[in-house]
Amino acid sequence: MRTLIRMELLKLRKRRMTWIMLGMLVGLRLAGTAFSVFWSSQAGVEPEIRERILASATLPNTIPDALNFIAGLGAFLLAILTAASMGSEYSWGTLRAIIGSGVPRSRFLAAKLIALSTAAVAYTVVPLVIVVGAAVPMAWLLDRPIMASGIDGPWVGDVLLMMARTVLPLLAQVAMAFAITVVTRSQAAGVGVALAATFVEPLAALVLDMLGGALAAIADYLLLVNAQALMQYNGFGTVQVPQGTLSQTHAVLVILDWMALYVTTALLVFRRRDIEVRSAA
Amino acid sequence: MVMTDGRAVLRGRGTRDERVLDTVLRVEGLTKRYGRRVAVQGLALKLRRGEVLGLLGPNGAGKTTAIAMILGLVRPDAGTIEILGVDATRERERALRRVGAIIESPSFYPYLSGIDNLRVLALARGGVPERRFAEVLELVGLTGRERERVSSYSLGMRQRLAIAGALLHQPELLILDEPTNGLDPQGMAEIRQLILRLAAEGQTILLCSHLLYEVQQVCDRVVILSQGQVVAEGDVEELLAQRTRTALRVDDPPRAIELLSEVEWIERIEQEGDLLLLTMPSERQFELSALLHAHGIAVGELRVQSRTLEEFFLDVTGPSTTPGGRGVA
Ligand SMILES: Nc1ncnc2c1ncn2[C@@H]1O[C@H](COP(=O)(O)OP(=O)(O)OP(=O)(O)O)[C@@H](O)[C@H]1O
Ligand SMILES: [Mg+2]
Repeated sequence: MRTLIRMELLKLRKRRMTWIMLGMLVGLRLAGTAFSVFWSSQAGVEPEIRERILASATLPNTIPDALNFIAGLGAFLLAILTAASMGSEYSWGTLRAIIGSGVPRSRFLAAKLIALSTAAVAYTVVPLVIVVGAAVPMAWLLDRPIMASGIDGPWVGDVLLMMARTVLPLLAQVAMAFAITVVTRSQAAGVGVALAATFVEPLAALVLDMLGGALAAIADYLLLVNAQALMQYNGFGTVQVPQGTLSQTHAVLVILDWMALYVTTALLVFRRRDIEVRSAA
Repeated sequence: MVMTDGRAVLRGRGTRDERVLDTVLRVEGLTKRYGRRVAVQGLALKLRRGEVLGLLGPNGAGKTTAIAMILGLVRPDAGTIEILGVDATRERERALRRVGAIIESPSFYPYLSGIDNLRVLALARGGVPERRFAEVLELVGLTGRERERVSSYSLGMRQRLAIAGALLHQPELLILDEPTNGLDPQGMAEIRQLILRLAAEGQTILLCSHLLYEVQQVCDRVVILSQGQVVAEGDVEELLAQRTRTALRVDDPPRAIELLSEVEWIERIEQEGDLLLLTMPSERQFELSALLHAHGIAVGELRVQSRTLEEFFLDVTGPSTTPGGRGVA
């Protein structure tokens, strides 16, 4: 199993797409911050908004804000990475080479999921570290304290919790894209359906909410609704969440359930199905 | 039709266990259906250590499907597969540990270099030492090119890299599915040389191909598949000997045909210009000549045509084949 995980990590590490998307995540966040800071220095920007932008560019607020950004774009990019990683095994025919060498199907899937989960963690940690690093010169440029006050108590634990709240939905996203790709055996379908879900789900949640009653309750069990609810709790110390936000326990349990559902589906389908040996026409 | 039963399976003496291990691959009753279409029907194969067996058949005969079942990629509808005494349908991982295979076209991660692709395969296997990479690269003649991306490789290089990958863990059984597919004559010759070299070193090989020339050169024994069924099997030499044709020129062909179609040991009579081509055991040519003479038919020419596997193949797999039948064409 360890060698299989090493195999999957090697494939991910040497793939340019992995790094391009990580670069996008970091680059877009930094560029976005730089742009909004620049924009806030223009005349006519309300001081309140300017203050919020500058706070978001520096510590400590830059941490939850960056994680919010990662949760959004990162989920997108990880869906693509996951679908590409599994989908190309089908399209390149490498799946038959690997499975045909005697690797048990379930172990292959597990190793791939673990490697992709590692990528999800890296997609959270690496941009965060860089953003935090960039916040220091930013504070100096803006002539603000490196670490604005307002934090009382231990903040390292808070940061770790925030990261966990970000990674969990990302893992669910990986599981979803993975399951769709395994079931459809297509990278395009994996990316397409995973991305479509990101748009359709909030819409569905909205419609269900409007219909009210029992239907509105269904929305409480949608993946993204819970992912978003969980992100609401990101912050330092005691965080004030809006009224009616789902509880953290509820959100975590629902997300874990979705993950279990996706992983089990992928496993069951993959184990039962023949591996196509005819070359792609 | 030749329906040789896979004759002596167990070679030599020794205890029962040793003899069982002498059979590297044993397949029985292997069947796969896709809906109504039968891809493989009741296939039986036996492969002894050191033997090179050709699995021959036209496109769509079911060769790849058969291998896919042996490798556990495709689930058989019926049949048993035993590799080195291990039931491959029950203990796939253990059974495949000593098998190396290429199936269908060579498949790699195009963004990885040749050596990284080998590394991936080695990690899938586990327990392959790094120094083995250089050995297999040397063996297939890719030394010096291993750091280039596979996407820049020619098809011939990919085929060779695939064989290198299949040899990484020094398998006892090497399965090659159309290893020269898509190659130019030069590339084909290179691969054939490589297979011959491996065979000479005692490597047990199951070689699938629709190229008879290739199989004739490389294999000890062939199994010929057509539409999922074994239509002939046996030693290459013997198969050819059994199916030689005798070319005959006589003064009165219609009468000769009439006479000879009553003869039991003449399996088939074809007419080609003024030549009659008889499918019959070559050792009965004197008998043939005497018979014609006795009926007053003058013989101008009588010669045994040795046939290539190619002709034989077309004969047993061709659409006009009437198994076991005889007739005038
Ligand atoms: N997944 C599948 N679904 C439906 N039919 C299939 C499938 N795979 C193979 N077949 C059919 O099974 C038959 C055998 O195919 P197979 O690929 O094993 O032939 P082959 O002998 O390897 O041919 P080739 O020389 O073209 O490689 C063909 O008729 C093919 O169309
Ligand atoms: Mg084939």
